[in-house]
Amino acid sequence: ALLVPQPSHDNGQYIRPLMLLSDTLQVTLYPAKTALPHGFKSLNLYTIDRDNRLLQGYRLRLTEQQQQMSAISTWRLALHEPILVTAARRPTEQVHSVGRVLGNRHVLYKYLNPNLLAVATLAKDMVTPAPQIGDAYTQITIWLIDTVSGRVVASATHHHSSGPVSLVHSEHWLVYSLWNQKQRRFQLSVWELFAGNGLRDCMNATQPIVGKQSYILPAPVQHLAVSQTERGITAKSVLLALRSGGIMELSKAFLDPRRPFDMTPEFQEEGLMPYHPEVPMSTQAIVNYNQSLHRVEGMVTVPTGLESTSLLFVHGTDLFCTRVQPSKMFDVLKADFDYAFIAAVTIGMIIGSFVTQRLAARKALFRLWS
Amino acid sequence: SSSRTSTGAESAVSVLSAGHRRWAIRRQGCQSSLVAGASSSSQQLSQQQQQLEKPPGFSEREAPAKHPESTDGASLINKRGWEVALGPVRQLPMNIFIMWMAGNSLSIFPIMMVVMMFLSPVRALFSIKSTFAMIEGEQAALQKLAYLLGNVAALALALYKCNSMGLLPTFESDWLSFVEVPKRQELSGGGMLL
Repeated sequence: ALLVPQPSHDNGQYIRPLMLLSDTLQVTLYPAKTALPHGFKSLNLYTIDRDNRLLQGYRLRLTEQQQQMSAISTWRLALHEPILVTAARRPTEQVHSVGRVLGNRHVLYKYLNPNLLAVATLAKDMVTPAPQIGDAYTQITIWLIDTVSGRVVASATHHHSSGPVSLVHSEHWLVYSLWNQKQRRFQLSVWELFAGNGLRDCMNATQPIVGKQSYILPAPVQHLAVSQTERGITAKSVLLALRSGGIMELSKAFLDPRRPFDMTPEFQEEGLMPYHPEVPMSTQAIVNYNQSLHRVEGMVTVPTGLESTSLLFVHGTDLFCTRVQPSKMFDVLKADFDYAFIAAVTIGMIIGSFVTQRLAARKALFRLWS
Repeated sequence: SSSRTSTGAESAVSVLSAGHRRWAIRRQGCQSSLVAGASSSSQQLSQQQQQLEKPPGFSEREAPAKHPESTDGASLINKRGWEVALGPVRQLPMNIFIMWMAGNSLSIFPIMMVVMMFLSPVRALFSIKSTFAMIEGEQAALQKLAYLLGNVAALALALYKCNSMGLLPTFESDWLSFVEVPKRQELSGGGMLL
């Protein structure tokens, strides 16, 4: 059973239709008279089979009588490793700009494939020698799979690493956290996919250029989420659910694979921070002030009508909801805005201008007549 | 005889005859030819005139005669026309120096300078009709062209300054906000098998 993939918000009825895929690849919709999203070349489905460790892709097709829909199997990818977590891009996500402006005024275009799926799998580490005491090391492999064609767009392996892994996938980047067994620390890694430097690269990109960087997290992390806004203009901030009970807001600018080791004026103009292995963690960035949230099961972010604000809902043992403003409150007037004073000054100026105009005209007239 | 006369010599005579010898020029061994009442013949007068000392600053050499064309009306018109036509060209080196001094940063002084450099040729180009009315003569067409080119050159200099300050949209990043985000062609969704 799956939710019908909807490209945009529904019309306020808050009804999400269900699409049921049977073993015989018959598709039924519930409620039955749901209109499928139109305007697309094809509608595709993918299923993640944890038991058999494989991913399968289907394409939807209407039968001849136009009554029943069936799914045709298009691709199958066997990973042979137990799948830990997966993350896909939210279909309602809006991307505002197509590229990133560099310091030398050129543009690095983003690889915006909306049908990517990120998968994290676990396997035994064959490369790192086993430790003297304790279990053998394991390795985590992150895959980026295109769900329409089944192609592996990018993949990477972290040796001597294990879960808990948390993935967050948005726009053209991917952020995940994992536990480094050898160095005994939590790490945060970021991947950013770029299509190239030219506009033609942007439109016809097949294989992206992947930039990767890793950072050390000073505290254990259970879940990751990213703030979502309606138009995607506001900067994104990654929210980390810490095991200590706090939800920390981290600006995406810290998780940038372009962060350089040596700063040049060009990088400074772009706004890049020099690379520092640790992610700065400050108690002032904790969103839930002194209300600790333990055993967090999931975090959901939702855009609001205001472009600057995103809502965050955390559920687990406790339920917690708050607002997140990654670029501060830029589209709302402050609470103590002096409407009366400004209105009085404006009206006073208008009246003053008319009065002085009349007075000056009268004076000029008197002078002419004297 | 203190009658008022218009000629210089006669007025000098009248002053001297009044008895005030203030203005009399004392000469060695000669009498001023302007002393009143001197009963001398014309010959004696010319002799005395020849023995007079030269006034200070007097030189025997004749001054070079002025070119007869300077009084010609047509050449004067031509000259005036060229002065008007080459006005903007004369301003160019000074403008170049001012631009170089102003610097490439985006602060109030360079911006003021660039705006000033932009507005003067633009204003000149707008009032070009009245300026052309002033230019007449044989070389009028050439002068008008020179004036136009001078203003265009000043405008080009202001544009070059804008470019070096980074204000012109010559790079791809300036047009990035006009690029549309590619529309989604294929919809895909799914999840874990239950």
